[in-house]
Amino acid sequence: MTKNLPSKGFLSIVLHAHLPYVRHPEHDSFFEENWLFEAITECYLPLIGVFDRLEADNVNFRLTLSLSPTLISMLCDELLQTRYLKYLRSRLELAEKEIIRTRKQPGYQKLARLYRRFFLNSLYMYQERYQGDLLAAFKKHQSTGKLELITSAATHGFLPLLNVSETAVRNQIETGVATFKAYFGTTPTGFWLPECGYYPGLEKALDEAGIKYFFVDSHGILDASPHPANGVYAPIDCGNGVAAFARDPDSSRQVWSAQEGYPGDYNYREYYSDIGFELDADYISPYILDQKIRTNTGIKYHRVTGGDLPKEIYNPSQARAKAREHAQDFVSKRQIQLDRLNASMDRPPIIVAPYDAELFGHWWFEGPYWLECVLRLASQQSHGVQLISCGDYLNKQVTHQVARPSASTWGDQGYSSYWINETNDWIYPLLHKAEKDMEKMVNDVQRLALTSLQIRALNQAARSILLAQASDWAFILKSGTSIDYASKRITDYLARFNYLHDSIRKNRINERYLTALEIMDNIFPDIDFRNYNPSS
Amino acid sequence: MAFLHSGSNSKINLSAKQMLEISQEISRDFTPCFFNQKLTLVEKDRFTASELLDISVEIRRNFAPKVSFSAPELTLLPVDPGHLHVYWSIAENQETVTLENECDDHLTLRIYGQPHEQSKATEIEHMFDVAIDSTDSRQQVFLPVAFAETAYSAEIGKFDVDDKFIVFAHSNIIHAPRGSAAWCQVHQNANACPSKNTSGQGISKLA
Repeated sequence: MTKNLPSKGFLSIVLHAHLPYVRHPEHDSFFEENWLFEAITECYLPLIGVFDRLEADNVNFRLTLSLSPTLISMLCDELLQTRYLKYLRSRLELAEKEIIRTRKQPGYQKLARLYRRFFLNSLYMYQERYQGDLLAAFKKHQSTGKLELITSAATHGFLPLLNVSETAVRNQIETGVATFKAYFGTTPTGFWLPECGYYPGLEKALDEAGIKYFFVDSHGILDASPHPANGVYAPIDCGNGVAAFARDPDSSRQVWSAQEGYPGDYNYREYYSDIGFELDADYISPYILDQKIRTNTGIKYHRVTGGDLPKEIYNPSQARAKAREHAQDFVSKRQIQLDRLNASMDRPPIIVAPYDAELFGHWWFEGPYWLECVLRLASQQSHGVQLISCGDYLNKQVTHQVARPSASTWGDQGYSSYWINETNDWIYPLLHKAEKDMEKMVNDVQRLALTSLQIRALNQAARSILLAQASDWAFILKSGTSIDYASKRITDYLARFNYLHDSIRKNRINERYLTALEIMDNIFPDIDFRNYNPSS
Repeated sequence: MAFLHSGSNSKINLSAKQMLEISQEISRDFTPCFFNQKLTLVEKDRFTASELLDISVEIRRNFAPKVSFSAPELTLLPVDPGHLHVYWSIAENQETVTLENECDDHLTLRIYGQPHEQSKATEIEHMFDVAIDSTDSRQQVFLPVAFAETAYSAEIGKFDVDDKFIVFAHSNIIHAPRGSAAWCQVHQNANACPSKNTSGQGISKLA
């Protein structure tokens, strides 16, 4: 039996779940939709499984989950739900084929059986238990007080570079909050700034949207003015009552660092060893892109192994033991941190540990289990670590040092250079011009009596702008992984905006074309173009 | 069983099955619609994937985004404590015009730095010029290390023979991130700040 220690402070684990809008009804199947399907299978369903088990075991955990509006929209989209089931069944079929193929390789066959069970369980969770509605699963855990759900900007627009137009920034925030509210019924108290991109003054738009707190990277608070007395271990009040919490560098490094982070342990599953790239082309062709371009299938048989050694076969039991060990290490280190901080601070310290949700399960296969172990250990309070959400912390501590955070992001180099450089800077003149055109058009029509067709076209133009603004496109252009797709998304959305702008201006709206665009870009059904107005 | 039309002399015989089919067809095609949305849904159902794709391709072909500003424009964007990004649009006839006393034909950026708390362009304390070496109307600007201010504005123009700066466009005012010791450390040694997520964030990792 564990002994409870008095709490020395708080640990707030925050997962940010986001994917760009990858929905393509104009194709019978579309490769990039797999980003969503892989994330559902490997990340979101396993995380829901963690929450369900913790609830069943009466574990008193608390976790913050940020769901981006694009992800919210895709998770409840009928077309994608149907296509996901098709994807999952094809994975199941492949796992079954693998059981036969590996019949003379017991070690591999054991893993093939494991994958079959994994996909079967995913199918059960998705189809039977939650009937395709994963948002309902998150909502359930929110209602029991275990999850604090928050959201982000409408399409994850990178706000420091949209700030040429305050209207564009405000529209991203307000549409994001409205989308969350439409699905969950309440205004979120917290807001995940896309890429943790903050600039001084952003708190005003957040306050107007009813937001109480947001997150920045460590240097956003450490370089705040005036200097924060408690460093990154207490929020600061931006001057208008909106609080900024900082990422803790230590807990971040333990999970993120490529060199010393847990996911790189030799016992964990190797992400880059996938049968989609390893098996005979004829055999694997039904499960890869266009039956010829090798892609990940989700079936991976090897562990990280380390160095330049040949990859060894994955051992799930050893990996789980290592995850338990890493969870113990993580919680112990937080305890040591809190002991030290508690002695020097005028209030209970809070360690904020934010991560991309997709790290857990997708990149780091054992991540959800590690998280489960961390939540079980921390909830016992045998380490003097108490789990909390940032919203709860603000309710406990009502006054905070007033300071202005410094402009910052959590990306490479800590500022905006990942989202504006020689690979992607061409997008900003185009984006800013479209935003300007939209703002002017909304202003021009504000006193006109509009037909329902004109209103539909204006709303669709607002959707096109939002979709073009996603930070993901600039990110992908820089990272170099799916450049053609990202480039096409931006140009398509801006072309659609230009088409609608031209049609509206000339009052020659083709309903058939408009309807096609509404089908293809069906996000934000309740959008109101009138909000794209500086005076609204 | 055949049904005979009672209101006319028509001799058309209809079976029960035929009656049902006609009834269903009329219901399907002529049900009164009270809401626009219902009409829209019927319309929406009529698109095939390839029809949607055709419309998408046509719009992309005919409405591809391009930069075309009606007036000269200059926009500044913050990158990091050591860099700004700038893009501009100067009408071709304006850029190539020979000023009466033009010295050379090169565009120049004039960057103004202001103390952080000031934002009025009139309260200028520092400025420096940057020769434009870009042909695609955008360029990154390096900020001098000693230039500690964080608010910037800019002008774009040319010099005349009297060394007078002829301005074509003024920029917006931006606040570049404050340079911190941590940032300088990172730039002296890229591995010195492990708290940064050097792998970056986002979905492209899923690709």
